[in-house]
This record gives sequence, C-alpha cells and structure tokens, in this order.
Amino acid sequence: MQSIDQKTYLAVVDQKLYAIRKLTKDLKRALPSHVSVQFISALVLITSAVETFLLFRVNYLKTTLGGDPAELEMQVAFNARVALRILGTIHQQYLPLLHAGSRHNEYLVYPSIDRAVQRFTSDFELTLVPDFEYNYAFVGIETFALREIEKLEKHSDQATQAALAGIKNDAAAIKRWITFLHFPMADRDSALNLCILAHELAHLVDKTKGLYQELVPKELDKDSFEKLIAARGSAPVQTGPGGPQLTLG
Amino acid sequence: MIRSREVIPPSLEYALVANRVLAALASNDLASREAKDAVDDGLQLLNSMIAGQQLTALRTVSADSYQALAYGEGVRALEIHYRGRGSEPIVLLRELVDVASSLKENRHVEEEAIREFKIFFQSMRDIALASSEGPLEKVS
Repeated sequence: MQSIDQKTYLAVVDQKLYAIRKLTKDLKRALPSHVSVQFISALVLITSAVETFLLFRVNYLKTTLGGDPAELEMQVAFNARVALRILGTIHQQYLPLLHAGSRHNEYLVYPSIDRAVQRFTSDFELTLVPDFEYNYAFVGIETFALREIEKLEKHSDQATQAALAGIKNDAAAIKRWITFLHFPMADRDSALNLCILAHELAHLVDKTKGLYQELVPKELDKDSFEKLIAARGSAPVQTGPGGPQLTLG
Repeated sequence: MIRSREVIPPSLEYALVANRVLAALASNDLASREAKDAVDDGLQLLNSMIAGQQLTALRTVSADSYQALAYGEGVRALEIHYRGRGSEPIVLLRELVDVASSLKENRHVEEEAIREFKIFFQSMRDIALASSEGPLEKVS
C-alpha cells in the first residue's frame, strides 16, 4: 500500500470520476429518453457521494493525523482505494446495463410487463436488457442510491456526514425499486419463449410483497452445511480473479 | 434467476469500519466524539460477528443471516494472527468486545490488548482490499 503515494491515488480517483461521468453522460444520450432515468440518477448520486466522502474524509484525516505523516499517508491511500473499488464496481457492473439497454428496447413487450407490475407496485423502474447469453434473469435493487450512500455516511465523521446529507436527500426521491429483466436476444421475436419473463417478474412480486418471509427462519441441512463450512475454512483469501461467488442452479 | 448487485459489498463496509477504528486509535484522542463513534462502530461490528457465530452454529436462515457474513470475515482476520493460539474464534471475539467496551467508556486497557485490537482491525481492513471484487451473485 505504501509503494504508491497519496497524491497519485487521489489523481487516479479524479481520472476515474471523470471517466465514469463521461461514460454515464454518453450512455444516457444513447438511450431513449424514458429508459433507465431513475437508475442513471442513482449512479450520478452515488458517484458524487464517493467524491464527497473522499474529499471530506481526507480533510478530516489531515486535521487529526497531521502529526503522524506515515499514518496519514496510509489512511488517505486506504480511502482512495475504497473509492476506486466502488467506482470500479460502477464501471464494470452497472454501466454495461445501460450499454445493453441502449442496443434495443423492446417496445412491444414493455407495456404489457409494465401493466402487470403496476398491479403490485408503482414505485419501480423497469429496464429490459437483451443479452447475447441465453439467460433470463431478474435484477432488483431496493433503495439503490440511498442504501449505498447511507453505508458511506454511517462510517464517517460528522463533517463528512453533513456533506453527504444533501446527496442522501436527493437519493431518497428515487423510486424504491430499480429493476432489470435480462432476456436472450435470440428470443426477442418469440412471444411464446418470452412468457418466461413472467417467472422473472415473480421475483419482483416476491421481493415487494415479502413472500419469502413465510419461509424463514429455516434450518439448513447439517451435513451439507458442515461440508460448506469446512471448504470455506480451508480456502485461502482470494487475491486474484475468482469464480462465481454463489451459484445455485 | 436472480442476480444480486451491491456497489459497496459487506466486506468493503467492514473495511471502512476497521479503518475508522484504526484512525481513531492513531489520533491519540480517544475522548473525542469521532473516536468514540468510531470505537462504537467497531463494537457493533464485533457484536454482529458474535451474533453471526450463533446463527452459524444453529444453521439458521433468517432476516438477520447477513450477520454470518461478518462472522466469516472476522474468523479470517483472526486466523491470520491467532492461528497458533488455540482459542476458539468466539472467545477471541469476546476479548475484543471487552477491549472496545473499555475504550468506549475510557477505562484502562493494557497496551498488549490494544496492540491485538489494532492487529485484528488491520487484518479486517487488509483482507477486504486484498480480496478480489465479488462477482455477481446468482440464484436460480
């Protein structure tokens, strides 16, 4: 961690912030005007929150650790690395959703899906994502920006919390559910196959209505659980690209 | 299939808590409000780990199951420096809770206990940043 100085880390964060803002703006321009509006607002707010968090946190650390330059260097570098990790996640996991959404938007199926979901909740934004992989999938994020900004706020000093308060207020105005439905591009003209989307929508109903709560608490099978724990306990900490975190098929 | 995404995964959140505790200890002003809040944040994380251990032991899936994640990260941090000591993780976690409670209430804490407290949180922080970014979580 000490091999790169804090100024370099902070400069890299600035570059990453610039790149994400530019990409978000370009992708927004490429999308139809009504698509992923809430999601884009959430990404913009999270990006601003990361910038604010780092700025105020570094200022706080300079005030309190001025007499210990080595610790200050370490702390600033850590916070910059956290910012880079968060921005990297936005870049790698979230922006591709906008990119995929800009390729084709399925105007034919969207109104039917929208009408179906309105029966359960109106506090949502839905984006259809055509995939080149043959997968149907549901991504549902509840109180997206607000929840992430609260994590930064919760573990900050008072000045940083005050600086994040305005962004948090804006985040509270975003729709409660940001959802994406992935479907295979190959099925886009097959009304029969697209019925599978009803299953994916049921995940949203499950989440908004809390149907899963009927099933918990639940006790896991002893043997398979102990095998899982033993495997987890003997695994080294991953330092490179890993396999799937959790896949239940 | 459900794909879950988090911008700030739990491990990164634990790293933020750990670093905040370390910054408070380095400030040499444990009486300040920020230091007390930071130690309290650390204490809550340690208590989550203990609760997570109990959920793990009971193999229970419930709304609080996420605390088992904290326990999993805590065990890894403990393993790095305490592997040879032979104590159960839960015993070590309770010792760390005692240190955090004493620091929060301005009670005297032995230097050695503070050193071990720091090592634990340094390990928590370093594990989170050394590990690879969590790929998408998929449930069919």
